[in-house]
Amino acid sequence: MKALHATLALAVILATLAPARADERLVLAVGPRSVSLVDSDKLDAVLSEACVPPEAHCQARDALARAKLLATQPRRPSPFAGAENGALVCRELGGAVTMGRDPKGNELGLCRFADDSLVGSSSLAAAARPHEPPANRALRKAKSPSPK
Amino acid sequence: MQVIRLTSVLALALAMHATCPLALGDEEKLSEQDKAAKAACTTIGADVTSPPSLPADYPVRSQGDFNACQSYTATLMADSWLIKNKKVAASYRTSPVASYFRFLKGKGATLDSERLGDAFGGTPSSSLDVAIRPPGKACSNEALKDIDPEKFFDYSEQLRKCQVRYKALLADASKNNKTVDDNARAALLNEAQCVIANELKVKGLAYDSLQLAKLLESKHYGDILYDIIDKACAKPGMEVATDGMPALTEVSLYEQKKDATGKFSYKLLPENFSKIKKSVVDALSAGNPAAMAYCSKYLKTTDPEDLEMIYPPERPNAFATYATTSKFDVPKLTEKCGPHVSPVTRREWHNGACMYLVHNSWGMDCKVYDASRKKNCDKGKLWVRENELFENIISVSTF
Repeated sequence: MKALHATLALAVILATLAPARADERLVLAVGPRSVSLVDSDKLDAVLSEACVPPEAHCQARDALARAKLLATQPRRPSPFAGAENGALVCRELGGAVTMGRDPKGNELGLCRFADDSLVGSSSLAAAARPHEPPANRALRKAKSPSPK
Repeated sequence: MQVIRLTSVLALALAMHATCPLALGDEEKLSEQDKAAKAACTTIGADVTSPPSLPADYPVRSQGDFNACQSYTATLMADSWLIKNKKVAASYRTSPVASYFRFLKGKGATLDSERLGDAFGGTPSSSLDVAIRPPGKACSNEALKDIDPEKFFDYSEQLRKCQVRYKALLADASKNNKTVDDNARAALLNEAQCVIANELKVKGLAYDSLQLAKLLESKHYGDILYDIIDKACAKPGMEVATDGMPALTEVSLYEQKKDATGKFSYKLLPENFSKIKKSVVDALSAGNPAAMAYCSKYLKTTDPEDLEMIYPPERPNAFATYATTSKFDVPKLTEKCGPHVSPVTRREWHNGACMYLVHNSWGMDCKVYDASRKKNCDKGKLWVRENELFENIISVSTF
């Protein structure tokens, strides 16, 4: 029994000590310009390199926080539900939708703010993913007909 | 000492299992049923044949602000045909943006009142038929590669305002029976030229003042943008002949009819459930992709409780099953489920299940998807379980 406890404890320690995924640097062409972005593990977002340090103040990073607030509010569904979610959130937060392209032609939707900072539109979409309050869920479940 | 050794070995095994759940040894864990399913799930697809009709590194696109999934899907379908039939090199890519504008032009969108990105959607077959096949040419991605889509929206709005002022200048002169103020006209033409040449950055695109004046006198604002796209595509080496490219054949779960009053009615075609799957498998077996129309909501969430908002609780994951019930209501259902179009390019036994690769057009990362979907997401391309895929396809189009 003691050995099992020790095993579990060690497994927990190992999992805790496991290094976080390293931030990945992306250099993308946006129209004729080249921009440096970082896929930050901590922020779970792709954003301008200058926005990554914790002390950085930039609108792209603020937008991520604002997107999280959107997640708690009731949203009007888009008439184009097949559209890229992030592009819709970007516009809602006052950004301009643009596109980054890697040398192989893979594209990443980006959201640009007035201070020229960028955040991945899918990062905004992830932050703004609706989280239905548990109370509403319970209510809806209670109203649903029982499975046949 | 032995306890420490045992602990280390167990911890290592646990850690390995956590990081690699499908490590060696899982083969023996398959049930007889799974073994049969695996044997039936042969690897087929557009990048499997030799040479492939679609290179494995075919890029993942991002439709961004354009409501144009149908054009992104149609360009992949067109590229696979062009590559397979040796009309182009494997590195050739058709421009989805040019295809989208040609689709809008073909559909007669004036863009006078619509926001550019919201004009309207369509099916891959309509996009291919309107934008790529009948013009007899596909426009290369190179033609528009320097356009920054963000600027395109901004500066196309500048052009729109320029057109409004130019037309007002002409109308004012006509109303007051006087000649047009040459200085004002020259200033507006110069402004439009600047926007096209310097801001839109369509390389090598120039209009003389007569052409420009004609452009600004266009009846609809859309005509200006269509002319710019056509001119950019007409530059040497930017267009590829599409002679011989067949139309896409569509198999749909329902038939849509419009009556004399313009009201739509929908007739379910249950026999097409199995035809859709056959159509996808046949296309992949022949080394071609298949374009599927489906509910995008199921890609955004795998939470059954979220999906209950779309589907009835008894079958929370099944568009197809829902379609067979008396509640079948296409407009209501599609409004909830988020109609979307993507190509399917490959089938293989993947992560312990028979899966299909969906080449979505929402960009090259996986952040938009929820945790369970992310596990089967590879740089924006998604592996989707066979049953889940076919329960959510509304129609499929193949060559």
